[in-house]
Amino acid sequence: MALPDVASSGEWRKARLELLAHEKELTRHQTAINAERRRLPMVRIDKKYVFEGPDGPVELKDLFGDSRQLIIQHVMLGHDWDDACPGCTAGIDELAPGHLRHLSSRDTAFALVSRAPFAKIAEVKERKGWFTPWYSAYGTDFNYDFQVSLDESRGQVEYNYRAEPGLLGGDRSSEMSGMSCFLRDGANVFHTYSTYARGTEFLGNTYTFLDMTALGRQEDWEEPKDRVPAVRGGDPTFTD
Amino acid sequence: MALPDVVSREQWLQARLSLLGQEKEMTRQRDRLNADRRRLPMVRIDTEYVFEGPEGAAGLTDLFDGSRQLMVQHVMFGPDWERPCPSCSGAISNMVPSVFSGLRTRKTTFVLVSRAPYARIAEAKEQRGWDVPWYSSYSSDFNYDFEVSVDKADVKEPRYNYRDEPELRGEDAPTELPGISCFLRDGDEVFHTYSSFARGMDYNWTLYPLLDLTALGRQEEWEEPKDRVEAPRGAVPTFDE
Repeated sequence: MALPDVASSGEWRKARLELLAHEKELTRHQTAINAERRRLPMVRIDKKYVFEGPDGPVELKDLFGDSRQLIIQHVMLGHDWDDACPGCTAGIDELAPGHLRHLSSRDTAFALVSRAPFAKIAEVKERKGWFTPWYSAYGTDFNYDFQVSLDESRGQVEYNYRAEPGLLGGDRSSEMSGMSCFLRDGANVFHTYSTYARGTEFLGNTYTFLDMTALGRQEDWEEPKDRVPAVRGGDPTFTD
Repeated sequence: MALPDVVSREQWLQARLSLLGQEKEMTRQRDRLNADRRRLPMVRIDTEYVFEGPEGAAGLTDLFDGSRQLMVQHVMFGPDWERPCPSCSGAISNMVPSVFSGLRTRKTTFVLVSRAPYARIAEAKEQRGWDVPWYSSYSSDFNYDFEVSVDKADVKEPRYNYRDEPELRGEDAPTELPGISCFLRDGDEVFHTYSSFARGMDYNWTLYPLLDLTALGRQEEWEEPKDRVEAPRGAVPTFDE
């Protein structure tokens, strides 16, 4: 095995400062991309999706609760699967009630959606002891429209915005992972953003989630300006 | 208020694809940076730091608790503070046990360290119901050596994030600052591999970004430099033994 070279603290500091410059460059790059993301246009959702949740059928607008924004994590669990995918499972295992509370303090709801029927979702949720709201998109076009279920017979073989026929096949339904963001304005619901594959790798804390949304962190330093009535300072606290 | 422009799905897709290209470029930039971080040299720790934890005095080696790597989150909580800083608290309240157990499956122990005396830490932990290993560095130089305590009496030229920060000398300036430090153990020796401060911690709160800070990385076969762990894993974000 090869471990890092041992250096004096002066030598280490020199190397660390060099890396720090690259790290700051990445932070600035990330900040610029986050602003570009918020500048994306949005698409009005005209289709009526009916999900099933613990209280029966609900529509997309119901998933927002009282929030202006909704983040959906597309969890890989097909109608013919026994369990949710292990990668999705690890991500959900790391969610704390604080994440949902903090997101909600910035007007953003968070929900899981899978294509399995709700009875299967309820069973998996119970078994894993998860608290995050989780809905079934079974019987709707939702998972196909947002490219997380692939099915050749329906002509949907795209993932991460390109044709991926290689992801088809096997004995069970082809489910993929991703995150989608929606914004509500009055009675209208808009799709603002979806990300897939390695685009979901760095998600997990409240800032990374909020950076995906149209309203961002809702702090005074962010571009573009004027997305929320009352911006906060650049401070990672999450109180109402 | 200014909301995004409403467009057709085709127009949106065109804008999204252009952003996707930039996002992929950033992912690749991050991969290169993570590899460069793992190429940093490391410094042997010769100071004997003594911390206080739930079971009394502990050395830095004890904090590894059997793992090869140790990550210390420097939590802002000064000796005379009533409570830890709200931002640090927010981050800690989002850390569920599976974060710690997941890191352990990749040979990495995660602990919190503050300069408040242990009695005060124990009280804060109890109040918030936090189940995280949290140690006091009250009687040691640890917080000064790692540049996260800059109280005026002890520090004439305050530094933070590897540069002089003269404004930290002001009357109202904070005495404690946030950061994260990584250590590697090789036999009986402990090495400091990395510390990060300020916005360098923005993206830290899931396992991959945390592991990306360490000398061993995610411990997956695709990563550079090679041969850091005996049995690298595939590129799968699962965390079982």
